[in-house]
Amino acid sequence: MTVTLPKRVLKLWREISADTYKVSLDLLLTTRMDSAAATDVLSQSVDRVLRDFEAAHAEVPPDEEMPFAGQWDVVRVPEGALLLGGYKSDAFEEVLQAIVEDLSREGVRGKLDLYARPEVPWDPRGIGTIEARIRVLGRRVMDHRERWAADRYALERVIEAAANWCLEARPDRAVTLRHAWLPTLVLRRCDSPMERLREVLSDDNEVRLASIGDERFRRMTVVPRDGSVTVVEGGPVLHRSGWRPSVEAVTGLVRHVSSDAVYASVGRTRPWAEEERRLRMAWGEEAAHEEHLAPDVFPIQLLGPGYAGRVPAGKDWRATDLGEGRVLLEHVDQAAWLDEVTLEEGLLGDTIPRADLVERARASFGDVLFTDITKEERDGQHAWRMAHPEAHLPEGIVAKVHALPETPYIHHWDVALVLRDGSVVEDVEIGAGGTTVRRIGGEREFSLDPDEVVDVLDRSTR
Amino acid sequence: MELTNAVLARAAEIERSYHAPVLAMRVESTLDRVQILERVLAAIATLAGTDAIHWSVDDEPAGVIVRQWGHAADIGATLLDLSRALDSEGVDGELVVHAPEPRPARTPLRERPEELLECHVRVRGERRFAQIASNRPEPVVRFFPDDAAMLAGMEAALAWVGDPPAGAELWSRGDLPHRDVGEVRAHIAASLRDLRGPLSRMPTNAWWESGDRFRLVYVAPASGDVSFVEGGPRLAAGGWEEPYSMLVEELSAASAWGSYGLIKRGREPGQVGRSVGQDWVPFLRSGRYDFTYSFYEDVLAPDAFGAQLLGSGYAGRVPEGADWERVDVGHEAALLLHRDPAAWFGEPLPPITILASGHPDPAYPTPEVILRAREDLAGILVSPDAIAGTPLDPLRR
Repeated sequence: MTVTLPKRVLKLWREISADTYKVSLDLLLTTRMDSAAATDVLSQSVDRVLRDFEAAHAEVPPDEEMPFAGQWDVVRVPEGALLLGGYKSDAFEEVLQAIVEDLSREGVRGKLDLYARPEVPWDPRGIGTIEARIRVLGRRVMDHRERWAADRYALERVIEAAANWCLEARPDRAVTLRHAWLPTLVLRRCDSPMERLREVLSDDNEVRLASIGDERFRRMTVVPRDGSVTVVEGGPVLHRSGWRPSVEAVTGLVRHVSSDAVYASVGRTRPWAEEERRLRMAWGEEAAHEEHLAPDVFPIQLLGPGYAGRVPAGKDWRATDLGEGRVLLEHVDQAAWLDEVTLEEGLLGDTIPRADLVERARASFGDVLFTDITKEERDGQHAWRMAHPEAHLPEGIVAKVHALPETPYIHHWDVALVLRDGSVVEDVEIGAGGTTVRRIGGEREFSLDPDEVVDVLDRSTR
Repeated sequence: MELTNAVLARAAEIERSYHAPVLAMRVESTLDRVQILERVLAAIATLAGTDAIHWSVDDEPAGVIVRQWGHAADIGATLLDLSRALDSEGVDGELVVHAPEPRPARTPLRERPEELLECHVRVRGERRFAQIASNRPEPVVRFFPDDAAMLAGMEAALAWVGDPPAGAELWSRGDLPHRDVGEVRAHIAASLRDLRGPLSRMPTNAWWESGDRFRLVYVAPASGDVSFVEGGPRLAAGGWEEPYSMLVEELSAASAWGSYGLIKRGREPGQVGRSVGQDWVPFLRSGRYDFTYSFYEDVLAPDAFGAQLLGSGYAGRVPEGADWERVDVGHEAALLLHRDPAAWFGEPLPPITILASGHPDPAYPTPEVILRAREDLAGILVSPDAIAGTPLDPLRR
């Protein structure tokens, strides 16, 4: 065997899994390869082993459950390839031995050993955070429901600006990075955070980058699928009037990226009671409309060109023209939205902002606010979907979609479909990860036999 | 400006490790402090905006501290840039590693035994029936503190810990000390907003420790508990009179907002606020202490103590006897003080364990002074019989 597995690995596994199967091990593959290559090789090996495991156990007697290989993930760390393995596995040792053997068959030389992941520090404790939610340029598309498909180039620019904004804050404790459901990793100073960020960014997964100091932390959360970039500043620095420089800082970022955004809001996070929420049935669909309808009122909002001629006015609001059709709309009494509650207010159940202030602000926004979806509308949407089966493309065509030049809109493809009879269907929108035709000619109702599709042509505009 | 080898070595060490990625350097110069600060700030300003490197300058007790963070292909080069910029600004001397002494490792106060005196106060309020959980539809008795009384109790508690002696740090939740009591107040205020309702509001502790004593407070807005504590080595060594005297003052002042109060000795800072059940001599007269007894403190005392505040709910029932001194403190309240406080507060209690509290052993060596006091105060002590039948108003029979 050319990849070794020290005995302590299985010894530890047997110890920690004696009483529960909800455990996993961190294992580090060290080889002569660089860590990126080692990560690729290990990922491929894990994929093969899991596929083989599933195939081997595909046919089980009806009264037995198919064994679960467990959760196995691979992520690059500076020292090599980190294998996070075995969560809920029915066959940890079998799978691990198979991975070692597969790696050896592939000619890998190295060691798969226990890895102590650096401890991730806590955020310093504060009261809520100052938050800016930014919706980047993009367009409304139809997936299962309406969705905002981000312009990937605008998203990249906003991510870079937001990451730099985070990294300006002094990381007395650590700089951390997390993507998808994988554990948060501590970054070393010699590792460029921007490079690590680009490495893990994908269209599919949420990414978080944080700079954690003793008195302040900054964090950026990117959700590429709906084109949102959220930055927060938190920690003891927010106390008393400390929220003011934090608000200035996040608003400064909003101004900086305004030409790549259609909407943004700045506020202080706090727990909201159910009855205080405007939107209860929207289920995130309001995000697809933020370019012309605000989800709620906030002390500071960036209103893009879609709000032209409809920007709320009045003595409570101060509008600043940022150019390119964008307006920064700020409430004149920022403290009324962003201050800390006093003991007296807290005991009485009062909030900041007070309910009457929120009501007044909502009234001044009027029809600029997104209207919640009713239960009847939701029922109607459900009934429509039941009556209109989705047009799933054959596997071979999905592969062709994925082979097209990178689509400018995250998870959305503008294409033409070539049919078996040689005809071409133009103005086709594909969503759901490239698997499903969503609209043809802008219409959700169309006639298409997916099995007749033989080719797909790129029609995206860059 | 000399860049010491130690700084370069420290930079190299930080770069490839998972340690905190901030390089801290102290400027050692013949210039005076103000000049150093001004010139270092000017030098840093010339470096700002280059690469992804960031700088901060702080005037700290140890001196002027320059910190650097961010990613650079060659950190050594960025430090040379700093050195040159300091030269240009006329700062002589050297840059040395600034590595503050790590905090001494010590078991946190609330996790270790310490001799203490606790003054516990029940704020004013009322008993009502309440449904406490969706899976428990039957309403149960709960004590609802009055908002104004709770506010006064919280302010009194914050004042108790709000002025730590020099060098002592003020702590509550979290892993960093607070800058001042205003921060603790703000955290308590924010915690009052519990979406599950007032009965779910979380309690808060705050404390400071100096060399030979500590102060601690506990406020529970859901139940109306407020506790003031002083303890530590000074008390353990016999210094009980001063803290006792100050706690009696607090107890007396609490007559404006409290319905009942007591002072007791204990040794578990982590049990403060619920210590009558967990850090007090076992209850032998009624099996064991039941936490629901606390809902009746405005009219029925949980046990006999050497110092108690008896509010208006005890009007006409304040016990008398040769061992007791009654002091009227206004607001229809009286302090009932034992004439031999040293017997109550001057010595540690016999050893107490959770087991001893929960499963009382009749052989437990309860101090004689407590046994006699239980007889003296029997008429105001809570018991299962006293609250059976009329749970909202046990005095109405």
